[in-house]
Amino acid sequence: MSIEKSGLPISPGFSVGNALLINQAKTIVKKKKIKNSEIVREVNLFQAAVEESKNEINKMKLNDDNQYKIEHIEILDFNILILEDEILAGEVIDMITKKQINAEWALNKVLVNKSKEFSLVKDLYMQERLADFYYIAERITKNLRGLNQDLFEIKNNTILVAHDLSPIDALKYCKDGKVKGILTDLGGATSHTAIIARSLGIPTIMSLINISTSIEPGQRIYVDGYKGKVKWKVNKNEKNELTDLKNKYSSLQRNLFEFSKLTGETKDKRIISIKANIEISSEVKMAQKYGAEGIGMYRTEFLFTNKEYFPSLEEQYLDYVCLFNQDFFDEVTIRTLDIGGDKIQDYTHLENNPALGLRGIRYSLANSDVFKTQLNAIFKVISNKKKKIRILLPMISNLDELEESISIIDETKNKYLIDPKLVSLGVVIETPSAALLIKEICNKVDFISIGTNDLIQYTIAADRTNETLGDIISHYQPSVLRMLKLISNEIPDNTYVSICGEMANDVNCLPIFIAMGVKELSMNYYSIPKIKGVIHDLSFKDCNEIFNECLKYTCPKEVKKELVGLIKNKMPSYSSIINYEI
Amino acid sequence: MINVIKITNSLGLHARASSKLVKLTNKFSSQINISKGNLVIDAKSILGILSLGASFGTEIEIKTVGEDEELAMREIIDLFHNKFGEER
Repeated sequence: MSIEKSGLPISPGFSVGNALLINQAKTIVKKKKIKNSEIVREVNLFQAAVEESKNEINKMKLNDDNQYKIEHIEILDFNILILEDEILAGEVIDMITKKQINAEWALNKVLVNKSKEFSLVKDLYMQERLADFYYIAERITKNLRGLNQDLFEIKNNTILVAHDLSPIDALKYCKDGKVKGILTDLGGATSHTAIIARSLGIPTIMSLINISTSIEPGQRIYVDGYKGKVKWKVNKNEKNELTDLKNKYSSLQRNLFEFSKLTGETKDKRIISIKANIEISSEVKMAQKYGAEGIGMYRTEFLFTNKEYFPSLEEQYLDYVCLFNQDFFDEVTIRTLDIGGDKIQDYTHLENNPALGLRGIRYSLANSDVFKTQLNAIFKVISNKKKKIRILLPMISNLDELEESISIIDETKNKYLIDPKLVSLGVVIETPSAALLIKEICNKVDFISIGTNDLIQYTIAADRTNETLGDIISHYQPSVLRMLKLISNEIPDNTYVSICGEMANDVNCLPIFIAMGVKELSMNYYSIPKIKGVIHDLSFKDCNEIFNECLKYTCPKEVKKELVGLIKNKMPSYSSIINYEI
Repeated sequence: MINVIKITNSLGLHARASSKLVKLTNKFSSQINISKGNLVIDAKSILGILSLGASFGTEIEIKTVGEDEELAMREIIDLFHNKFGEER
């Protein structure tokens, strides 16, 4: 029986390889009393271990062969500075001397004390840096015991499996290109290790609970870094399926660069802007690489969840500023907080049905301080950086909510000196209620973004995370197409319409959106090249015919078959392009 | 010497900026401290600087004491004013 596990997709890509288990368990630090006469020796041992650790990192820098990128060198330098921190070393030596305890225990004790100071730092990024200190402590401890030698050799097609992986080890093991994947029990998207994995283009999945204890050494593993899934012990059929998937991914990869450079333009010269949906601000880099023309939706939830407190204005400001890093994009779209009772760690308000509860704009209006803090952070970025930001409101289901939101937004905006041209406001059309009120909504905002995922879920009244529902929740359901038709008939002319949601990256649905006259499609960045590759072969006229034709069918399977047939008819290259579907 | 300064680079004293600051402070023989509120740290320690959690807009006090205190202060202030070379 095959086994599958899901974690956080950290770095995209698909690979197959053999598991290499490293540092299976964290070194257990032992406490030992030492004699007065042993103090000098223990201090010397500690200093030698620090020196040895420093040499290891310096050696990596020396044997560079120009393979390291600037961010790699910076991370190495940062780690060297930790080892050169005389204050830190001084405290350890002090503890060895005064408490008469062994070096590894003293080092650990000092760090634990320092962690308490760090817990006062309310900045996730800075808090994550504490992890680097612990990795260094681990390195020193291993050197104290004379154990910091790798007893393994990295062979071709290795999948590194570890409880946790330090950035230095990641860089050391992955440098020569033999490592094809990284899987860890712990870790998050903003860790230094994640940054390195992404920069090296190694498919990586983190927060894969217990992966390091579930996998046998040498086990053949399939790593899908796009979706954050790993699979092993597969049977013959599954193996064939995975090999097909791998081939699809790699042909996508080959053509990626070419396609990503295209503009989204139909055969009859209608321009459709192809943008990226992102969840972490640092993803702008990948979005740009894959050919995004902007950020169509930055989901801000990641900033708010997995934390004990809500991020401050400053913290959010710093995060939103990163969206403009390296000037990749002139304009970004920030969707205001879309969390509901299910994602907030507040168990006093458990809801029976969170998808229909106090979520999205409903939550923001009920907790206007949280909403205002987020808006303040956004306006601060606009006023300091003179950059364009589109504000997108989720889960609007009536006009009162929209009016109340607009008045809070205006009130907050007025505190800043802002060029009005830099701000625009949009609503995510994702409830059937908003779809029915589309005309009135469009008259109050600058743009709309049709959020297909939730619109489908609420139209069909089917939970999209429930895998047993199958075709019931398919976006080929005739009711979904009619809902889209209804919206498109009601939208006032010249409204700027965007589509965000998984339907936007399904090639088969592209004619529907072109027929609807949308100006923008926003999707996962890795789907962008594929969509850009297809758009050129379609014309508005053809798409109109296709949309009208498929509206006649009453069963999702027929709709899909018809769509595929019609597109193939209009587009001879369809069969080759469809291979790029992820 | 004592000087109060506001952090103006958008990322604050994050890993890269802290690295630059520590490399600079360690060039001087003077004792260099930075304080934020009641928290006082040794500016020659990377751990110390990170534990300040000094983000954009934070006001910090820099204190240099020793033979090269003037030069140290001048170069530290320059580094802050140049936003650690991060922003154009």
